Amino acid sequence: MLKRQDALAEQINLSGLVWLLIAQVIVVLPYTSAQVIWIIPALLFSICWRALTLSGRVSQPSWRIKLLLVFLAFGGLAFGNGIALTLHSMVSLLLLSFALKSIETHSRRDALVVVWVAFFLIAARFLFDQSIVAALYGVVSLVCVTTTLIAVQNPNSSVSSFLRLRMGAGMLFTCLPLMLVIFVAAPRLPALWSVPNMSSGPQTGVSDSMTPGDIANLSQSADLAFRAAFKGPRPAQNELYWRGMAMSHFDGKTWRPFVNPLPDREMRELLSNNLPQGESKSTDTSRKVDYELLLEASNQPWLFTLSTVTDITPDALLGFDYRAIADQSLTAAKIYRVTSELNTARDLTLDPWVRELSLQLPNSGNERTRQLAKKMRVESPDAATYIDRVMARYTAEPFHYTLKPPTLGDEDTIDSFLFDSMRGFCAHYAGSFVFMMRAAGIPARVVVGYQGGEWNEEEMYFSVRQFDAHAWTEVWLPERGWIRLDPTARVAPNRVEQNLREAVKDEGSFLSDSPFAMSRYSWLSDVRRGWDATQYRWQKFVINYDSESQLEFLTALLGKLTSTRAALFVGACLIIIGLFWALALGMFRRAAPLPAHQKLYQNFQNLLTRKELPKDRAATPTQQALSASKMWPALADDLQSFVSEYNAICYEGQAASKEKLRRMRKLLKGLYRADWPLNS
Amino acid sequence: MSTAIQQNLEDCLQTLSSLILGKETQLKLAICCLLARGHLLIEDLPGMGKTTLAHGIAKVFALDYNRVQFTSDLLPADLLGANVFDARDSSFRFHRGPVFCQVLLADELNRASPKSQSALLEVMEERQVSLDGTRYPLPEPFLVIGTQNPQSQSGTFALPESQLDRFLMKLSLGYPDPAAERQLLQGNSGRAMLDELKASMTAEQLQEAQAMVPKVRVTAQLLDYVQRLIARTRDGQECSTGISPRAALALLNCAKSWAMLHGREHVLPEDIQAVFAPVCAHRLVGNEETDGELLARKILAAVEVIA
Repeated sequence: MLKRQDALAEQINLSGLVWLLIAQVIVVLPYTSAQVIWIIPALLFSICWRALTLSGRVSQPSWRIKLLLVFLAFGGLAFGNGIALTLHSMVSLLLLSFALKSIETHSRRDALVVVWVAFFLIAARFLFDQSIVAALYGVVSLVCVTTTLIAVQNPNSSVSSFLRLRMGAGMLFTCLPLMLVIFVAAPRLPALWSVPNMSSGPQTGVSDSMTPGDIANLSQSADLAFRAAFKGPRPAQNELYWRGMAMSHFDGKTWRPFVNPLPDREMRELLSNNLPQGESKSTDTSRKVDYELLLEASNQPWLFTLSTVTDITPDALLGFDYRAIADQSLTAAKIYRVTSELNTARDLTLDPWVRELSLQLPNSGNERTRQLAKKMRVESPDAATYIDRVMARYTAEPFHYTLKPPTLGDEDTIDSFLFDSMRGFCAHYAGSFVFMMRAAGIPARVVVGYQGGEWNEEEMYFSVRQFDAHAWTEVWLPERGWIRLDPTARVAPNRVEQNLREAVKDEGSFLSDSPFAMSRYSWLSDVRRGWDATQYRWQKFVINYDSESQLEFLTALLGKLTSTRAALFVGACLIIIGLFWALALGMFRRAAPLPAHQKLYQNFQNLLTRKELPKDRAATPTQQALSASKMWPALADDLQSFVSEYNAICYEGQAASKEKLRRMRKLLKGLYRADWPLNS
Repeated sequence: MSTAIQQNLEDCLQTLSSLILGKETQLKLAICCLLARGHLLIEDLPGMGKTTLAHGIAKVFALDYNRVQFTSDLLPADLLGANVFDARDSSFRFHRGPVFCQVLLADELNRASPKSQSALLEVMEERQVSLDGTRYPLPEPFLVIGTQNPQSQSGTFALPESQLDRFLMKLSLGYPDPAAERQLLQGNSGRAMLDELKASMTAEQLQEAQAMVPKVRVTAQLLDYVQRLIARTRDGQECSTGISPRAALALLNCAKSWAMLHGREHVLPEDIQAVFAPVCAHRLVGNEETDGELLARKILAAVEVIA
């Protein structure tokens, strides 16, 4: 038995080293997408050096070289990321040390350090990615690192790698039930420490300004924006206007919510201090819908809801322009439960300052449009007719829906769109429409958000992707309040009634810049939908399993949740797991039951022992019968025939027929009843 | 089993018993060794009847018999034969040595130098003589009966373990009991009888009997017992050197012969116990116990027949 110190200092052998290197590559690989790219070269460099050292071609690096490497690595890190103490840079530092450690992994102690850090890195990966793929990869890495641990601790080279792998997987599999119980039942405490915000993470989704004239080729992405699961009946496809925010200010080129981009805090104040003053009331056609929003991490606070929101949990800020804002930017996926009333009349009376905001136009520019608006307004008896005629113009004139519009320059962008190019996507139509309204003195605003979504029948939810992003308009009319109007729907009804793919089918520009996106290919739709549903379940039941859903789940499972019941449940789970372990580790594996003739012979031996025949373990059956016969000559015949029956089965190889066993039993019974004279 | 052969074997045993008095077990074991095609080592003091036994076996089974007295200056050529130049036809001719026979009595084996010992042991294993690239097969059956004086006697070269292993059994005859000694003294036995001894079996019949040995049945339960015994010799409790697989096979073969000799077609634990000491004693090296015989008895007593 080696002493602990000696065991730790023992050199690791080739198979241990190979496993270690495999584990290192597997653990580091997923980090390369987000972290320092050159981590892989660094790892390969140190691995190659280690391998060359092992083959005896290169000597081990001296402390000078090691020091130089450390300085190089830290310098490179500081050069690339700066020296801020962010999560990102700390993980990069750990990764680098991890990669460089392999150059000096000689003893078991070194190997253990690498293995423990590998375990830590597998867990740390989930700070960046919690998808189902990442989880599966994590399991694979766990198996690999556990196998490495086995290979390092048990250097017996006669054990094949496959056997080790099976052992590692088996160990983890054995732990699985305990993991599940802990996941389901352990109290989900709020974090004692919080993961620092990944400020460097890119913001995704709808932005808070809109400059349609600058965009020559709308880039699209098939990334998921959010999912919405409906409990009751779902709204029709063309009712799915997921409202993000209103854009009320136009400077001649760009649409913004307000005059200037506001810092987060001030924007919240502005929105919350001016809650809807105007009365909202349900119309006859209003109906309530309940749904759950599973928002992906976007690093933005916007929530996307169907108007009008009447209830939302967890709490979110509901602004005067009917937008909903989360308390914090969404750095991780989050669930909101929302109740909305569709078709409510909003703001039957309009606040003066909102009216002012909704009538704002630049002082000059876009003269042709202004003139057209004036002319059409004069020709129309009332505002509603004017609106209809402006809408009708989009179909009467040769407007064309495209994702590749011409750029419109810096001046008079609305004019160039409405009279010259007549080609554009939702932002062009919404922007020009609102301009036309305002020019005629009708309050109007642009609304951005998402429209539509793909329905998953199996799990009853819509998945809304980035390419579903949309801009539409709201117009205010007395008595009716804000009305949603979508000029894009006039030009390209497919966009709203079906989806973007159908709308630009002829153009072929759908997801044209991401050729590998699954959404691009309609024939993959079944696969995509299945995969999407799996991700949805993962997101809903695993990632978002918080104390609330835990309570819900345990209540559903156990009825009313009392501490006794919870304790009993956990206790029962632990007992079952204990039994499973005992079973898996072979505690209940019993020896095969004794054959009948062996049992009879055992009874025979016990009988002789009870009658005080001196015990001799080396005595053969015949010898035992003989020595017993000597002591009790009267029983000699029975003793010997019993033993010869036994010998016939046991050593002659005759079958243990019923007949024979019956004879043996009879003889034994006779011996039990026989008179055993006391030895003198 | 054919009763004729059984009867023949009985006769052989009877005849030998009349030659060597009161040593029935040793005689049975010797026959048993012959049936298992193994070689026999007899260790005993001078004058205990070793040579008589060897001679007797050869005669009883009608085997061709040679005796070689091993001395310290015996050379391999004296034993195996040599190529001798024949002046008449100017060529070398192979002169067969005394080893070309069916029963070779290697008397006082441990008095010869290791070189000659090795020559013999090679012949025992290969059952052929290789000389100058030519192979000369030995007749069948071929049995070596080696005798050796106890190592305490002067002028002996101890046989190394590897060579002891070539002998299937090691026996010792021991002093006769008083009754047998009396008969001996009265002149009812001994060398005089040897010349009058008649063969009870032919060499062919012996080979037939030998061919029947492997057919003796062995059950799983018996093999369990054998394995328990072997394991006991290997677990280091009593022995520092356990039983090799070759020896284990030898043990089973001898037990089969023993069973056959007793007219059975299956092996009983008794058979194993009977041959265990002769087969294993000279192969075991004890931790403390130096006497293999005692060691074997100890192991037998310690292992359960039926677990």
